[in-house]
Amino acid sequence: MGPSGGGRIAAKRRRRAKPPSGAGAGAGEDRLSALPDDILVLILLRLDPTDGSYAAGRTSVLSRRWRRVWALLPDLSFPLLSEPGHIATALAAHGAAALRDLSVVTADADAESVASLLAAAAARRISGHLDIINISLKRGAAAGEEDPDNPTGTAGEAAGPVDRDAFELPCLGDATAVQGGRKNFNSGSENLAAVSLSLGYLGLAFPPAGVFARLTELSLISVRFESRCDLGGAVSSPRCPCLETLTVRNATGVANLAIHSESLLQLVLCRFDGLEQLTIVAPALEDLNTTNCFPFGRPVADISTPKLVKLQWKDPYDPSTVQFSNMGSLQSLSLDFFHVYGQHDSEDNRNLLKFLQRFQLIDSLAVSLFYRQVSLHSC
Amino acid sequence: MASAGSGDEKAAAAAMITLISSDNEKFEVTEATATLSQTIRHMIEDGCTDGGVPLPNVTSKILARVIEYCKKHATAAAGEEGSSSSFSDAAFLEVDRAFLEELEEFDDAFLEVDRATLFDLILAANYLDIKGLLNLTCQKVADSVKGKTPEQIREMYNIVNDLTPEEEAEIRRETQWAFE
Repeated sequence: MGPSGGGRIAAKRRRRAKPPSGAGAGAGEDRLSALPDDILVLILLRLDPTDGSYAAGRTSVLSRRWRRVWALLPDLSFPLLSEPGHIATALAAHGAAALRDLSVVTADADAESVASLLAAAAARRISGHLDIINISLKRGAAAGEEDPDNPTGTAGEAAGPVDRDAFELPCLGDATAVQGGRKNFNSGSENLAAVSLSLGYLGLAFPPAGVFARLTELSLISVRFESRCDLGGAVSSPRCPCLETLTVRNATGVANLAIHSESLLQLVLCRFDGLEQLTIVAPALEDLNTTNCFPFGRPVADISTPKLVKLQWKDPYDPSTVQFSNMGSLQSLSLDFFHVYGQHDSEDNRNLLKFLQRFQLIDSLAVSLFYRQVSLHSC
Repeated sequence: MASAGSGDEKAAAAAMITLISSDNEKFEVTEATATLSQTIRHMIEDGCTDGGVPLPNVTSKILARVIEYCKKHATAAAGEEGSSSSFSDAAFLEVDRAFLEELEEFDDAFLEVDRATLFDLILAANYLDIKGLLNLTCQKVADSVKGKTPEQIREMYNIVNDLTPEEEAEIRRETQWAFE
């Protein structure tokens, strides 16, 4: 591109040389750039949705008019393994406009960069969903679902004294929380509603104080909780007064989890490494799913959920250590495992039957059957 | 509204609205057609449509197209309402699908316009607040720039690049995430 005036002259020449197909009066005009901002935003929102906000961002170099149009987008999405630093830049540039949803996928990001990304997100006061996925490519497992039982190496690292791979969660969704020693923006009508973090086994700690005032959904996946971190305390009513849906999946570092929540409706606890004791006191809870929370150890649990409608208990059940309060509203029950072929009278089976005897009537019952292959031709 | 059918159609036929384009052409349309425009719906609700509705931002050429769109979509909506009571569920679904397919074909054909008309339609849909038409026309523009480089988009829409090389470099730094 030539000196500063060159672009304009070149464009003029081009205009004369090549009339557009729908020729007519004003055919060479730039009608697109003349549209009002809100219509340009509508158009940007309709670009390839699988491409996130990238295509919209690229329009910034079209001309001066376009420089800030992308920054008016209400939602930002970075699905293609972006650099967290670049996203922080994008958030800063997005600046003035309200931001509803932010979704980021990164790979092997370290704690520091995820922390600064979260801080940037907290500063932007997202009103809808914050979704961050940090895929661990180096460890060979996607942060989401794979190889839950043994996040290789990470459990050992967790014992280390000061962990560089760990960070503290800012009080997202709270208008008045103190964060990083600095007060957040003053009260706002809209605050973060839902947070989903898939951390690729980075260490996470909750701040010792502070309220996640408007948070209704929290999902923490592939997280190594720091020993100083009281996960149960952080998600319980005093600090998460509006939390309705909580999912914790692929978690290490939590030995004792005690959740006391007035607001929780749905709770999913899945694949904990090292959990010794689980306490749930949730008077409004309707849906509880625990899966592989005690994969090796003996389950110790005290569950008080009188309104429970749906229970999936995919862990061993031992009536001497697992207490359930009255579950008079239960309609759907799903249990693991009933051993068949020669193990009818195992302790697991007896316990499972004992559990079933608690209920007079269940609308829907699912029991996984476990049977060893005795011989290749046994069928 | 409970008994859909001929009664409603008569009532709708009785309520006619006159729309007046910027070049003073008058268009008589049913209320059902006109109220696809939220702007006109509000005017009707406020009772200020008696002497006709002047639309100083819309030419007769564009207004005719907009009315064509609204008529088709209003008919489709009325047809769906009317059919729901007289068909079995399966037959209703069949009719529903036929309606949708026909509507889609109509929309595709409707968008076969030159670019100047497309922009006029966008502005009219925005001014008249006709959500379906605005979505349709904006999608058409979005589809046309999908997968194109900034240079190609500039060329396609006669966008003059008024950025100095320094400014452009700065913007590319600012939005590096978009060019990774």
